[in-house]
Amino acid sequence: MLQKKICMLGTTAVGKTSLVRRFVESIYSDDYHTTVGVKIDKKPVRVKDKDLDMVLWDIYGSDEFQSLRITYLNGMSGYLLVADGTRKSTINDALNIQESVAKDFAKVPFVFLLNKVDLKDEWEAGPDLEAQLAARGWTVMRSSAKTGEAVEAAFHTLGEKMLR
Amino acid sequence: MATKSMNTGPLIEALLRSQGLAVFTHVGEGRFRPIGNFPDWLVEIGGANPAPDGTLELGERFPFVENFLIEAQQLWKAESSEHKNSGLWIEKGAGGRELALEASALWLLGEPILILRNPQETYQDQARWLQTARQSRLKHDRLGREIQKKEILLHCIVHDLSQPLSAMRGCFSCLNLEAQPGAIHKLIETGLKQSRLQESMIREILDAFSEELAGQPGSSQKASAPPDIAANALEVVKDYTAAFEDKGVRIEFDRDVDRSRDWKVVGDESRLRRVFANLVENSLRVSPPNTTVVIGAIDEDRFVRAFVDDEGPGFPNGQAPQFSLLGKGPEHGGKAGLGLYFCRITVEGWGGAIGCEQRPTGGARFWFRLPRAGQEPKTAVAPVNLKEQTGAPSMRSEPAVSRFGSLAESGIRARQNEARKPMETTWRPLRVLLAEDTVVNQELMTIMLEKRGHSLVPVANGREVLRALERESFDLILMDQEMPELNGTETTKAIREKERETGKHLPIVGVTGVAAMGGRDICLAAGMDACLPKPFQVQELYETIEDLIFVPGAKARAGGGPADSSAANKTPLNYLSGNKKFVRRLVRVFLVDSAKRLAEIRRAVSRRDAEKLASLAHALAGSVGVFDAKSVADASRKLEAMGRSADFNGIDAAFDLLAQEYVKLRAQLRGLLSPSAGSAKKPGRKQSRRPIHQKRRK
Repeated sequence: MLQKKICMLGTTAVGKTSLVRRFVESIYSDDYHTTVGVKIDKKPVRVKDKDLDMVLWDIYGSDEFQSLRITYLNGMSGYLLVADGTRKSTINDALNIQESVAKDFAKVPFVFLLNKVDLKDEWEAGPDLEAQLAARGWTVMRSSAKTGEAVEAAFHTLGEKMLR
Repeated sequence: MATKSMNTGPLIEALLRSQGLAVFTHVGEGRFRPIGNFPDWLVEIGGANPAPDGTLELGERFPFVENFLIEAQQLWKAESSEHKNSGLWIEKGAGGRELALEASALWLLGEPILILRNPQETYQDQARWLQTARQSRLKHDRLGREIQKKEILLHCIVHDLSQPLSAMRGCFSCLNLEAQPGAIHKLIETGLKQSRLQESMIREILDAFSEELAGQPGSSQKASAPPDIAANALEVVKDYTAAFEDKGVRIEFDRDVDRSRDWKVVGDESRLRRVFANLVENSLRVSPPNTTVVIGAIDEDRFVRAFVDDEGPGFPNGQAPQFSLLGKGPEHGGKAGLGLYFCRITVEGWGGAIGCEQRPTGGARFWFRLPRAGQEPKTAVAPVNLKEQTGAPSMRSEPAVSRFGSLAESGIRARQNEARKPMETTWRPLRVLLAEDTVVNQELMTIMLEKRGHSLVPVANGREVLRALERESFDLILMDQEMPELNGTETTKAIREKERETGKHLPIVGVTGVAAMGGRDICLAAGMDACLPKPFQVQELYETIEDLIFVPGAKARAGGGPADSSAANKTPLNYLSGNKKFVRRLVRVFLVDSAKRLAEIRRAVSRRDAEKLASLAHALAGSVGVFDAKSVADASRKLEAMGRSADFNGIDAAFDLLAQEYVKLRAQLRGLLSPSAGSAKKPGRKQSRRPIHQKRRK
């Protein structure tokens, strides 16, 4: 079966691991457990009438304690760039990560996820942001690992982009 | 599981086993031959399944290793003596147990070696401290956002309170510039007094809050003489007698208080007076007509207890005010309770206490207790913090506060010092761009600056500022912080960004209603050169602006006007006679200003206020000197002398004389304002027929 490596990128505590668990195991926990190192999961999916094995690299969130090791991205076919919509700073972090990744992986497709959309009262991502990013040609989606909103759709959208 | 070993002695075998290492040599095409036995953890995760030839395809089993092999191959190819580590990855073992693994590649004795290990303890330690560190940071960020939200809320409240209040005070001030009939003047004075009181209260509350935020409780305890609580109570009685009379309520100082005793307490006089004032105002609100409010003080050994007793409804449902933020009891409705909250944080900050109780004879007693001066408790009672009052976390000790506080550090200080550098040595009228979205404030600012001789171009928001700068040049910008479209901070940043290309620097003064709440730091951090807190006094405005442009003394030397040798031995009027517009403006300003002074002199005369009379008459004599109006100056000096000696014999006649001479001068000056007026002339000796004071007395 066709295998595609997908990396989960973003700063800490934006919900990368939760998104993977929701997508692969359909489970969610409110407890926060920081990811140390890299966790790899697989999920078979059918995209554009093709069976595909998504190999999901859940990479630790980069922050002041750990920086992203760019060699982990070798061989990736796509990535999900994740930010926490309730923390503006994580959006800036995501934009910085994307800028850095694009230097070596400019043509690799990605989807930008504004996660935790279930926390509507705390939402900090302004409406202009999505329009601005869409104007750059980015695919931006609001997701929630807690409710499952847009999780499948995000991976499928990325799968379609990878198969183009 | 035992496998074929390769050139390894028993010692090496034992060593690898004890370290839990899985060691392989790369035999090509991603295949690896094990050295020694497989450790148990490799078996647990299903990585110990060699092909019949004894080799394993590790990259196929472990995608992470496959990725790492790209780096490893480079090292082996280079036969480098260095080694490479993969970093941690996680595999699932028996029962879903997470095992942390790490791979290392090295070139050893001519062999490409790959080592896999399971640093479980290190991993768990790392996970623990990272979890703690990241959770702390999340908590810190959350707290920072909470504080920021509350600061914004407070900022909005203060801004909303200050803005209309400044406008009101400005309007009253402008009205007061014109001589008004007695009754209206009294109302204007009351309005002015009340708005000043309110402004002072807002400032004090802001100061108190900023101390809370800065974690410096008690910093307001400036080194001043300890206030006398009884004397202050007496003063408050005097201040409020008129207001109480209006409502048909009496206010009295308790006759049992022995004034000869020592009533000095910890604190400062202005705040103590405000505490009294808040309690008295509170009593006035609830007191029915024909009742009495009594203020007094009680000696309690090392403390003094002050009280305000009223004969109002008391607390019929037992719902006494809480003295907390927005926590006023329903029986005392109408206001938010900030006054009582202020009283509490002030009194507690001085090591005292405050409370209220139902009086047995009816009505309520509000009291506060302060340590006697020199009897301060060694550990003062901690001031109230916002956590108690609003449920917010304590702001005093949290790192977020120091983060905000750090704004005031080196960069800003450097900017402040830089901003204070004088630019010019000669005073001149300035061309000021005013960014202010409130029309009333625009007008007020225009009057103030033009009175000083500066010209002003008003715009309503930051975008208009940027457009104005493209069209025209200015000496300085007065920038309100709160504006629609583009606020003061954003606009300043945009201007400073542009100046990087030109190398120029346009002085910018920020105007903010929340200077004490960090507004000043925000202004300076954005690139402004100075910050003017709202509400401000006219003199503060002048000094802030002119200190940025001129060397100290330049404006003083010129008295707010040009200073050059041609001005020597000439009155300002002669000096400016070629500039009709300026003369007219000067005359207009004088007429307005002098009319006000005359009205104040009249009040001082009628009240027999010697000190005020001397001061006002002295000022009027000085100002008419500009117009060489000797008769008015002489009449003023006579009144000044009477005031200084407190000799009121013949005072009314002396005032009438001044009024008559003033009316003559005014008529002449008004002539200069008519369109047909030629050059400015010395007006001092022309006559007028109708004394202004007679007309007003009708």
